[in-house]
Amino acid sequence: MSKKTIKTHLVTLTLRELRALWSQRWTPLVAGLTLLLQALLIAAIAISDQPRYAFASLEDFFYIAFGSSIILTLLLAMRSFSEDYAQGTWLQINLSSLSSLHITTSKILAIVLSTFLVQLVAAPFPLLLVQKGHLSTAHLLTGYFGLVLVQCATTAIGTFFSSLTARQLLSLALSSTLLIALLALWMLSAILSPELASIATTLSFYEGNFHGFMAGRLVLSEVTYYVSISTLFISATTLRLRSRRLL
Amino acid sequence: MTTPHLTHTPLSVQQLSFFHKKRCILHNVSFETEPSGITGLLGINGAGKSTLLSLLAAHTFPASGTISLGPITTHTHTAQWHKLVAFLPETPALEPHLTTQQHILFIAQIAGLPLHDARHKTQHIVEKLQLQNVLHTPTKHLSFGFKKRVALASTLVTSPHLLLLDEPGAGLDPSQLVTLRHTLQELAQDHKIILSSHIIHELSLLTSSILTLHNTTLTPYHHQDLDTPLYILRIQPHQRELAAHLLAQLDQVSMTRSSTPDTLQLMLPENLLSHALQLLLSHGIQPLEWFRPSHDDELEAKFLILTQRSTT
Repeated sequence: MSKKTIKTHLVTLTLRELRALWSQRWTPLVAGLTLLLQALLIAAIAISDQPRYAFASLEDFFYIAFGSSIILTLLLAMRSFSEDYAQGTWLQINLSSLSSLHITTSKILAIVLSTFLVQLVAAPFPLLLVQKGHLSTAHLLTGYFGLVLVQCATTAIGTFFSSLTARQLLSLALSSTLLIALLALWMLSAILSPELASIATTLSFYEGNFHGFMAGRLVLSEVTYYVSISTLFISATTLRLRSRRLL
Repeated sequence: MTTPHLTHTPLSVQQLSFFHKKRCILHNVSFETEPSGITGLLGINGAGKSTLLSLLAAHTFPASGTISLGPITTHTHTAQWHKLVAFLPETPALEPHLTTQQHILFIAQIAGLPLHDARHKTQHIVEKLQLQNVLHTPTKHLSFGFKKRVALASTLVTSPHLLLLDEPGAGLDPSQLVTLRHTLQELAQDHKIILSSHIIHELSLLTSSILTLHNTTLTPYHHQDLDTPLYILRIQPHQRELAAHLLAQLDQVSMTRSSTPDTLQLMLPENLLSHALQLLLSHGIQPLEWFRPSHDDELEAKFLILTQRSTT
């Protein structure tokens, strides 16, 4: 298959996914509620009595955006394959000439793009911090880059579990369980031996892997972690699809 | 590999078996279709018609057996197979957030057609199936009949060699059925079609051969089998089993027992009628009544006989 054909397929599928996402009332509703939650949490920090540095406030913004991104991404990813299975539209995708990798990639691309654009709605606040607090733009860009990586990893996890079942809630439950386990891994470090505690912290979804992005530092190990998670679950999803298809 | 000319190549299925949760759905099913035209697939609900069509479409894969169109098989040339074969399921699954035109165009694009060709073919199919009035209507707002037509348009837009239609008439009103019949008869001139149904009347009007699926096995019939007359035979209830046993030994006779204890339903050529009657009389069985039923009753009885289901 030529590169042009691959690009055309990806674009066609991604557009289809975006249309499917945003034509439903569920997506804007969930996006709005997530942004509202994010705004309330930021406001709670902002109205506290103690003055805070802009740098610290920007870190807090990315801390809150990390959580809201995960919630939004999981809620969007749970329907990625499950809806196709339940509606029967999986048939035409399955019988098409599209490769399993293209199908997986386009679904993830659509969700990551949507989640990132929703996060950009809240961008005026960090932009204001950068401007008024005389912060480096690199801090802002690094933070958003970290958010994109988190969204990719979370989407990949959600899409994988969605590919296993036609039930969206089951897919959400499974992906949430895994993510909570990954988030809570760092808590084990208190009770494990130093060597295992180090491993637990390294594998933790937040602790030890997102602090650099929050602080505006591009740490290679943190980038590698989220890219690895994304690659692992994209591969798993692709293999899962291949096992269901003769292609 | 370039696609060889397959217009007059029959579909060949050899020793096909399929299991679902350890239950055998199809067992060593083998058949070959006519090189062109419409082949009917007949069976009661749950016989495995949809499963067989799904296997022929390479949507699922069998436990054993091969499906081929000339040198191309579902196992070795799956991507090519998907380009040659189109499958229309019983319940049309359309993209709910797309309009009719967008949906057909989307299907054409993911089938590998360049955008320009996809647009051209979409336009052609829309005109052929008279979908102009619903071109910009979201598919979720279409009536069931139009959904079926749009789904059929989606299968045709890729110009497949083989069309697999699962109960295409299900849920359609009589006028829509007539339209569908004319459409399929036109399509049969350029495509091989296999369509499943439990409406034997529709199959008898459309198809040149019928495959009946019952108890995991498949039996082919030709159209002349459907033309074989059906007779209702009334005899004394206590003589029914003996009569059935005697008539079963005759060639070209198919029968089933009806719900009333004194009746047998027989399909046999007219020239065998007197021979069958003489056989019964020679064994002391006096037929009380012998007649041909109404057209609708005849078709229903033929359906039961062909699917070999006893109604006692």
